[in-house]
Amino acid sequence: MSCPIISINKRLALLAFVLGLIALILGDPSRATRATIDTKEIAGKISSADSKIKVEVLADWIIQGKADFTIIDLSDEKSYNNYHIPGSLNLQPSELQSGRLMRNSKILLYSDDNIKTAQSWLLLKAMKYPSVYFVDGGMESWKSKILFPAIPDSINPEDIAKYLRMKEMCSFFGGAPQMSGNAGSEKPKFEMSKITAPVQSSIPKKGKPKREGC
Amino acid sequence: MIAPFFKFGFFGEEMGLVFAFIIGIGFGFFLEKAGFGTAKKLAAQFYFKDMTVLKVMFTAIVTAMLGIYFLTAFGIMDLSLINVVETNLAPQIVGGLLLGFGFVIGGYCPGTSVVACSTGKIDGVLYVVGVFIGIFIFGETFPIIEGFFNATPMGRLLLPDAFGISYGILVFAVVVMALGAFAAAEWAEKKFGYKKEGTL
Repeated sequence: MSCPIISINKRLALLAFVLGLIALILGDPSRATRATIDTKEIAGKISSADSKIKVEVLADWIIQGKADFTIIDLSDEKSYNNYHIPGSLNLQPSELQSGRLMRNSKILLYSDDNIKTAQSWLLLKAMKYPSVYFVDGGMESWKSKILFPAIPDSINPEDIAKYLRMKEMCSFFGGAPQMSGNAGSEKPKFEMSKITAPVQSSIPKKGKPKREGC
Repeated sequence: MIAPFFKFGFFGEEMGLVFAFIIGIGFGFFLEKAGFGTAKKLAAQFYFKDMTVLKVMFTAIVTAMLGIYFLTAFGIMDLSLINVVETNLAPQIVGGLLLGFGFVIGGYCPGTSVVACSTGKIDGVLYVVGVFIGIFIFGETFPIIEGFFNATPMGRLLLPDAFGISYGILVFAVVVMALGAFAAAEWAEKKFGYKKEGTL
């Protein structure tokens, strides 16, 4: 209205040009690596321990074929290739930044180094991933509770169901229960790389994301 | 709240479909309002007589691009979560050429053919029938062409990464390109376009 000579098209073109110029100065908005964290939320999560998933629960989910979660193995490639929890993806903490992980799925982290897992958990929380958990005890716990659980020689009748379930899980994942005679003192005789589990999990594998869009 | 809402789990698959339906209706409505429901108008751009298609498309590209860029810059949107169709260079070049031939011959692209069909244009209806026959043939012959379909995979490829430039430079370059295209389109319309009195 103030400048009737310039048509609306030209004004819009000018606006686009100015915004383009601002973009040129701003550079890269998405590669910004700064983040803020809600310290109250993080402190709450740490003290309530509700960011942990027990290995037994995870094993149960895998056996049931649940698919609403993604397991991330943060170990190095060699350890991952040697053995990993069935269905897990191998990502390094530096790769978590790429944004490939779906935000609306549950993300479970584990590795052979629990400190690395905890640090990565914080990294993802800082990146505003809403549901990030870590597998309680990591790989060590998976080995001692799922693959090679210690089962005492004499079992109380009320514990029979519990130990049967333990044995079932153990054989599903290709491990072997350790009877109390040899548990603890000896290392399992299994070669981790030879353990195979008949998993029919529908957890998406690396490199083949779901097709979407037009 | 941070967008995209679906990826952040603000609503589920079913709600996603409802939103897709509403947005789809809006998309179709504006295509029709822009005159994209007539093959004559669409084909006229190839003869430089009516450059509406180019102008509308470039306006949409620039608006969406600036919107996404600044929403990302203000932290309201996460650019890394926007779906990008993976690049398979060779099959996509062939596919693009095929689509171009179809566009020139039939006068519609797939989206505008649905718009024309919904307003009852016979050529639009036939075009949509053709699209479905094409989809059927593609599906039936897929095992034969699967190798080529997946050839030259380049993953999630974006221009800033491919050229090693910042998003800002790319945004500016596209804006300049669009403004240049608008100016060229106006010039072409004056030179080759329908006279004001109109022969159409």
